[in-house]
Amino acid sequence: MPQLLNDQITAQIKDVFAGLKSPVQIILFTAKANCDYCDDTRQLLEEVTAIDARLGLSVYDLHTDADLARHYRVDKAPGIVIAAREGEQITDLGVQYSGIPSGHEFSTLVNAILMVSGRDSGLSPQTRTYIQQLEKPIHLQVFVTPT
Amino acid sequence: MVRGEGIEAMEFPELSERYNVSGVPQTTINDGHGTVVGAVPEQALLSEIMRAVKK
Repeated sequence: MPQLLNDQITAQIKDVFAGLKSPVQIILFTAKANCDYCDDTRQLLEEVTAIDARLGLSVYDLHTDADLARHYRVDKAPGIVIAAREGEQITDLGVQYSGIPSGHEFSTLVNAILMVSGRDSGLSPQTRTYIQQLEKPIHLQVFVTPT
Repeated sequence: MVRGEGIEAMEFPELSERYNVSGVPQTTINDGHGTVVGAVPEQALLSEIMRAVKK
């Protein structure tokens, strides 16, 4: 398959990734059946994570690696977890994307990587205080389109 | 405690239909206990989350 990211875009992303702080591990769950975009998503993430040494990629199967998918609470393919990594330790910060992050959503992926790398949500003190006292988990599902 | 999931709406039409997604971005909180349409300021999202978790 030809490269999804051309040389010009790769160079731009390389510049943006100069702002990375700590390592980021992208965990991708794919499926062999009923997943039109799994192959493209895998290739896209391989190309993105190859741009900077602080980025890593692990690929699993949603069904054969079901325990791990449950651990990361991933139930779709392609399902992408953008996690923090220190050495071998991977910390799930609750940042996920389901589907292929293409078009406008490609910048969403790049920004998510930068945010996780900085280990800072950028939220206000008021929001942080509220989240700290939560007793039940919150799941936000943000529906988007690539166009 | 908080999980944020971006979802490509066209790729998961059943889920988009379940939550009546007609415009994007649309944010569904805890399986439909709350909904925010559009890209709103942080404070507005927080208010809707607070309302949703009280249900």
